[in-house]
Amino acid sequence: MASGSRQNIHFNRIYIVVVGLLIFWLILEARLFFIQVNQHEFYVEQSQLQSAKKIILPARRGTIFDRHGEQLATNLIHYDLAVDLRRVKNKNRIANKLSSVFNKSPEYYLRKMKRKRDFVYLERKVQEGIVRKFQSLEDPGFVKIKGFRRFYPYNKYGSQLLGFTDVDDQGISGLELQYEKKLRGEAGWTFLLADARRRFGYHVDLPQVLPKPGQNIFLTLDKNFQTIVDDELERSVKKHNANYGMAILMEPNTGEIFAMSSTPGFNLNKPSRSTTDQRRNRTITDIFEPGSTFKVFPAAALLQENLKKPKDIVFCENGSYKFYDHVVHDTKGYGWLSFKRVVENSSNIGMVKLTADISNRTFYRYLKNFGFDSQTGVNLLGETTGMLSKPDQFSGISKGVISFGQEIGVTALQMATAFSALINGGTLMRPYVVQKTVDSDGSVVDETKPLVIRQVITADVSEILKGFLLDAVRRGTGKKVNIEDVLMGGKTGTAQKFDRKTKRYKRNAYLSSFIGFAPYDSPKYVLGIFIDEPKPRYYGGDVAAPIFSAIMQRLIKFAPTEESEHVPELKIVEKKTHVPDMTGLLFTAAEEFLQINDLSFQIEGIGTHVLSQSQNSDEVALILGVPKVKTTVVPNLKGKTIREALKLVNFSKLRVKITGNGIVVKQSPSPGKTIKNNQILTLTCAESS
Amino acid sequence: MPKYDYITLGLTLVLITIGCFTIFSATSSATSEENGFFARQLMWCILGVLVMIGVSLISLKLINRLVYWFYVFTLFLLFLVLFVGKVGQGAERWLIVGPVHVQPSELAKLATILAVSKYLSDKYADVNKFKYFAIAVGLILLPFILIARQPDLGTALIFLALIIPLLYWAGLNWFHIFTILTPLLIMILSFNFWAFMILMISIALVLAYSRRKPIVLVAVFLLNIGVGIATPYLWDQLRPYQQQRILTFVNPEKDPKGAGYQIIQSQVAIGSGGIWGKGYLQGSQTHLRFLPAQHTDFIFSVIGEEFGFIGASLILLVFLLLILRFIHIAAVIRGQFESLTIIGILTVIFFHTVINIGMTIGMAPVTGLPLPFLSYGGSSLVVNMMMVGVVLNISRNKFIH
Repeated sequence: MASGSRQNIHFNRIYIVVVGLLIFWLILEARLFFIQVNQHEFYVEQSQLQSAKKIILPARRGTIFDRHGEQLATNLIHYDLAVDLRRVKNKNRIANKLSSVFNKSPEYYLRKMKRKRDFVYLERKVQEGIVRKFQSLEDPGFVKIKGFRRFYPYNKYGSQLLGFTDVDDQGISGLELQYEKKLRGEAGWTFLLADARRRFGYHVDLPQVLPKPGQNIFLTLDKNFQTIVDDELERSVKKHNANYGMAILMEPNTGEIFAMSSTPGFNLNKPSRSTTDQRRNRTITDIFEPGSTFKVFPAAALLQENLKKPKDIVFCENGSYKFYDHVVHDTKGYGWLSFKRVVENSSNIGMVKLTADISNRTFYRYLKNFGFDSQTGVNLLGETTGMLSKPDQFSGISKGVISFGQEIGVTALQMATAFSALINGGTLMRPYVVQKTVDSDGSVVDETKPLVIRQVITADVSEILKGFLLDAVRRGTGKKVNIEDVLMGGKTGTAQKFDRKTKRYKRNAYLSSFIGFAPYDSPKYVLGIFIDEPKPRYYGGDVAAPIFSAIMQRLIKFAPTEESEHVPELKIVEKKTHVPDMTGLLFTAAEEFLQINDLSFQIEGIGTHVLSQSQNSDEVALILGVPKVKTTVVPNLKGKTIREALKLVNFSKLRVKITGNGIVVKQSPSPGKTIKNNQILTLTCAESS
Repeated sequence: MPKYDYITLGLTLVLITIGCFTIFSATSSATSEENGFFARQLMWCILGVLVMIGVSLISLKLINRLVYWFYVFTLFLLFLVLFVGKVGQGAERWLIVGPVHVQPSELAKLATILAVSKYLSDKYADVNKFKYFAIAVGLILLPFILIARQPDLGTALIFLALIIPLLYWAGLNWFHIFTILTPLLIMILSFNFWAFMILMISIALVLAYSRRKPIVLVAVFLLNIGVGIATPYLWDQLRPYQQQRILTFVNPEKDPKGAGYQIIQSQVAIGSGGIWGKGYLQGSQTHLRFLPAQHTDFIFSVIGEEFGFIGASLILLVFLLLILRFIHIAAVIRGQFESLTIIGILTVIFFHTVINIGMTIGMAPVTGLPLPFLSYGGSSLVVNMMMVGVVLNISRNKFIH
């Protein structure tokens, strides 16, 4: 054909082509109009129905462990009871049933269900056992939403340090608040689709994000020590009618805190019943004048500066000494005392006179170097710096009264940390409670190592001071701490409390304290005890020293790792069986494992695989689903662990046979082969060598 | 200095710009693994524009001379990809050359169009003669078979769709077109005995009035019966997921959790958009990620949800204008090769557009065909831009022949 006639063909045929195109175009336009304009309302409703079905998969909150891996804060499975008001059939029945279980009036629930929302919570964080009572309640609108609830196996022990969470498991105080981000993890979500029978289930093709569990936190705390310290402190506070007590037990050479206690504490599982005073971690937030326990620090400065020798003597004025317009008293009148004896017998007058020769600036520098007037670096929320004037603001008497622990505000932790430096050879260590944070797969995210802040005094001065403290316990004010066979050292304190309102010292209000260390030769523990307003006896030697010795006896004389008989509550958690992480396993495999180990379990969701699991003290819950694997060829599984391998296999098409244990060393069919339906994939495994 | 076709250029740039914006919205609430789609698409757009301009400026004679080599080369790649290709998310296969992932099937579209156009523009070529007809169809079926083997059914169908428009434009008469089309209808209706019977009777009537040789009539009739009988058998040969797609197309509600889920979700997104849409970045279905593949196959659903009927219609209008522009050029251009090439290109773009948009509104099966210029994806975008480049090249040269 010539090109001219072809041109004609094109001109003739163009109309048919254009008309054809326009028809297609109009069909699409018409359909769009139908969907977007005519049926708009219907689809809006559909989209709203759907949004409600997107559910959040809560991440398991990280566990807080003590130094030996004991769970201090963990999770239990709990349920939220709710109604979906679009589906609910019989509101009265639901209200009546709830009211009979929870002792609230049916009207209370009916009122809740009147709200103009689709979805209403009726009760939250209900224990598993109670939820079983609702099994007979079959209403399509009644929803039981499984979740986790924070649980503290030891109720009150270490309560202020650990802190607690709210009903949404959001950290509210303590470490729970401070480490909220790490503990929380990342919630996932999924879509639930209802099938014809109104059963909800996951589905492969629906987008979903699995939750990422929070990090676990390992503390330096020792559960046994913490319970011992808490118990003894509480007993003593009661016995002596005191307001409150504080105690710190730490490793002087590393700064690890074994126990951190403020009493009265509160039950972490019922935080709403506590007062803000009970929730406060007083050992870092409360400032007090330490009194005589403080004397060792000015003493350290005098020795280190070589201004005084232990045997230098000073006249103690028989118990009363006019100092500027002030009168300084000793509890007992002394005449001439050596420097060492001044500390042992805790003479205020002696300290005032001894420190006369040191300059304000040097004096302040030593206190500052011991960590007073600054944060300890323990990295806990709410820590204060204490109070201490700068040397150029010192009045005439400042240095003198500070030397026996007045005009200075300290925290219990500052005292324990400084005291550790004093007896460990002179090194100020950064105290810490968080040893490490660990990812859910076991890899360490952050690790805290002992950290030297500075050398405050030399080792020989430290040794001399240890001698002072040993004698203070042997024959001085601290006689009541002695335990047979164990040499230790320490210092008592009885501080008159300063009233900030009247700017005077209160007459009958004292802070009774004792701080000491043991064993003498190579100190492993520093323990500071501070009791507020004990009555009627208030001397440190009578009130605080006996607690010190009671605790030390239990720590040292008995093997410290042995389970203490005094804390029967611990038993509940001890019997738990360790259940491995079974996420990703075939359900049948997980089931078999659980049955072999005689563990009861329950199942949520529909599917072939374990998507996530949670563990109660005596029951394991498995959430099932179908993993997202869509490959049509056999993946390369060599070198993977069985669990890793199973995650990669498309179970809708393959059946898997596993021989051996450990790591996949052989597979058949080989990688890259196209999968035929119901083919058997054989994996040969061996322990890695 | 010949005039550049700014209308085609402008419409194309409008489309790829809207594509980028929509991809940004579709992936803005994405999980971390999907981050960076927007940036990568921008990169592809820049590359695409460069390729388009480059192709539009090279000599058309050079293109004409290289057509068969290009065709053979892409056939070779299609062959190669069956053995060393990596399977993508659907069934398509990719060739991996260093950091570059190429889908040879995309390239094959242009190569096939050019080859068939060149073959049929021969002075003596007459599609109504069996030899020319058979070779032209053979040139299309070769890549079709290779791609269907991948097995990327959606893309393969594009090649079948090319047959009638190209041959029709080359002058195939109505009886031959009838002969090709009836077996297709038979295929669809062969599953229902009564529909099959009624269709066969109608075919017999048309044939009786066509005044052709009896031997031809009998042959056509027997062919149709043969197809009708063979189709159910061939159906069983399809892979289960392919059967599933076709079945779901017929009735998506039948399987709301599975394959039909995508179509239902897409319609909910588009339908809930209403007349004016929910606004850019405001599509709740999109951002709650109900939509599957919302940056690739279902990008149009995002537009439908966020810009409503008005926005969706505007997109359709831009596509319509672009294709009408192509038809205009195809009609006024002198050379048969140039004219057929443009018809082939517009067929590919039109088919992609209709199938993709039809899919999102529940009128076409889920084939995995992207929306030209808008869907995320490098290979498809660059080849589409290359095709526009060819059109620009031809229209630039339309008066010097």
